[in-house]
Amino acid sequence: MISAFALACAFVGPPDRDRAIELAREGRFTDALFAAELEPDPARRAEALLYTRLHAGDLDGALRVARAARLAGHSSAWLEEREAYAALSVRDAVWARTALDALAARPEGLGVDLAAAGARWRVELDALASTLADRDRAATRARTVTILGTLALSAAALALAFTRDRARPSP
Amino acid sequence: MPLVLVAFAAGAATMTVELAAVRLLAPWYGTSSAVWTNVIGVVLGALSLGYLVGARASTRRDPRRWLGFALVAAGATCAWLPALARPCARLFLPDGLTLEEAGPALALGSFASALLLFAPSAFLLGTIAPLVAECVQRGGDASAGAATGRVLAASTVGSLAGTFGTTYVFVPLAGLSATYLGAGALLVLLGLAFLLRSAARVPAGVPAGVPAGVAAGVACAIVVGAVAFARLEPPTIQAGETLLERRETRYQSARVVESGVGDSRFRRLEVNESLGSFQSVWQPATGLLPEGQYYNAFALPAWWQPRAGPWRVLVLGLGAGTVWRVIEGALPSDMELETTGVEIDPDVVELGRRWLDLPGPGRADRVVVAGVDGRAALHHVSRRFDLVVLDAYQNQMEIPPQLASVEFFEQAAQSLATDGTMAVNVGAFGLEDPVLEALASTMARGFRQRVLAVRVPFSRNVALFARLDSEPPDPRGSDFVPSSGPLVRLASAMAIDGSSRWFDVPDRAPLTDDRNPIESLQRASVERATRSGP
Repeated sequence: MISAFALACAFVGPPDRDRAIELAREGRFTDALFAAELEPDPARRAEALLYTRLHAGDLDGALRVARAARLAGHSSAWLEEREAYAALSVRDAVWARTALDALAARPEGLGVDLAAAGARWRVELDALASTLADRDRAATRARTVTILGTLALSAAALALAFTRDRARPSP
Repeated sequence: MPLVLVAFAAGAATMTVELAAVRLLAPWYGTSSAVWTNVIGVVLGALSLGYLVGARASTRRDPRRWLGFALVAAGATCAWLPALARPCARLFLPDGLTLEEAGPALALGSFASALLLFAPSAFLLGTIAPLVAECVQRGGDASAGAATGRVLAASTVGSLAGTFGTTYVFVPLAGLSATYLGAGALLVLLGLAFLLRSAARVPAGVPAGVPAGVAAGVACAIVVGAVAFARLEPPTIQAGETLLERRETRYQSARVVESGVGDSRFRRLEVNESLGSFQSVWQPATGLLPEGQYYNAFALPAWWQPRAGPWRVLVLGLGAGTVWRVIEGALPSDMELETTGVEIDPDVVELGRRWLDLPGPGRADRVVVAGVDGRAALHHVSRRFDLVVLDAYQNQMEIPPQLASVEFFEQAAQSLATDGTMAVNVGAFGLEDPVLEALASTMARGFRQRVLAVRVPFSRNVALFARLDSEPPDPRGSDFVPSSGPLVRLASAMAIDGSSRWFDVPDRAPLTDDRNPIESLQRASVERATRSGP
């Protein structure tokens, strides 16, 4: 659905990232996406698209935008920080680590806000990674108990079924 | 003491262990067919080993004494099950996991937990029947065949009593812990009686009553200890939340928890208390819930067909009435809600009336049909509805097969008024989720119309919409997002590119009453979700 507003934007001139973000804040997500697509700078376009999808509750879509931008070399520190946030929201530790590593490896210094956010997400990532490691260890325990327990039960049953009882019943 | 009474008690206790086992594991693993299969498999395996060991023990010199020990040990393991369930389950399924993270561990973890928890009890209970048969036969009043027949008959009648008693009486009335403690205490008492009456030899210089006293003391310590530790395990709730009520229903463990204060209070009716599952939610005001709550999507169809007059809604899987409250507060101003809700669990309805403002009986515009399955209820619906909502989940993550077949959707379509809409809540990991694809295609086949699947923002839920005589509005069209009202933001978020998908009418329905692999699809869905990555 393209509203009259978005159509008007197309004729007035190229809307920028900030306009898309403003529309997303107002809850006019289709208009915001339309405006974002008209942003000429690829990095700013990706930022506008990601912002809109994040606010529309499309976390998977936001992650796809971030990945595409990163693969195309259009990523930015802001985009990577938001990517880390979205990845943590869907509890994808591998994806979040990729984004945070990319953020940490940026040659230019991060602003105070981005650095603080990056540090916060790193703490969350560590907690998530720890939870997932616990799960993997628990799965190993479950597998071990299942195999050993089944083998023990089966071996005991077979041994009892196929060996002769030497005890003599009392009269 | 009649020996057949012991066989009866052992049979009853065996079924209590088995049936209540799934309920005991439910807070961690749910009650899916995989969990049932694992528990039954472990119990049967342990029972068969117990029969063999009992047969060996029965050839020993004093089978009554062995019987006494077996009963006491079986009672002790049974009584301790409630206290051991939580630490054992946590060993294989740590806290803090979401459903998709825990999914692959559910089957294996439930098997391992069943092995550690229930195999010892089942094994010891299995030893009892051969020992009792031997005692009967040695008593001289029966042949081996006659003794075995009597014991099997008594044990089977006991199993029947245990089956019905556990499901319909003990667990609903007394709770899981008391059921296990009661079964355990009964077995321990029976065992003590045998030990006290058996001809145990007392070493020289030891008073005759000492061994019996020691045995009684140990048995009492076992049961009292089990009682004490079982009580040490309150239901876990998150920080800042208050437990309002908890009860064991015929179908599940249910509890109502509240967070926040004043107008920001929020209540959840949780079932089986695990993996973030909840059945209903409540906030003081009617209308839309906070972002991410899929119930909000069910308010959309009224805005697609705004007109004055009644808006007749049937909800299959009413829970505690959340869908009603959301639609009631988000309807266009000239529409009035008239609704019927079907909920299979009467205790959930009671909890809803008590804590979640579900209207009581007597209101013609808010009819609750409790204790009936949604599919069965459809047979008796004579009215036509503008909207039929299916929001029925069992075992935290499974749509019941009888509510996910082409025959069901055909039946549901017949209960719709002209141009009526059916809406379905599906827990799905994206629009390519195997459960979603199968369900949406089945629904399309049942309605003979394309089905619209729309991702609910900020959630792992997808709403399916189908109409009887036409198609729902296209999210890319001009009539999907209402021009005004409370649903503009939600509909706008649902309308963005990539958030919806149309499903065409297939030649054959993937899910039918005859062949319905919905459970394996649900497992595939969770496994697929765990494989996603950057």
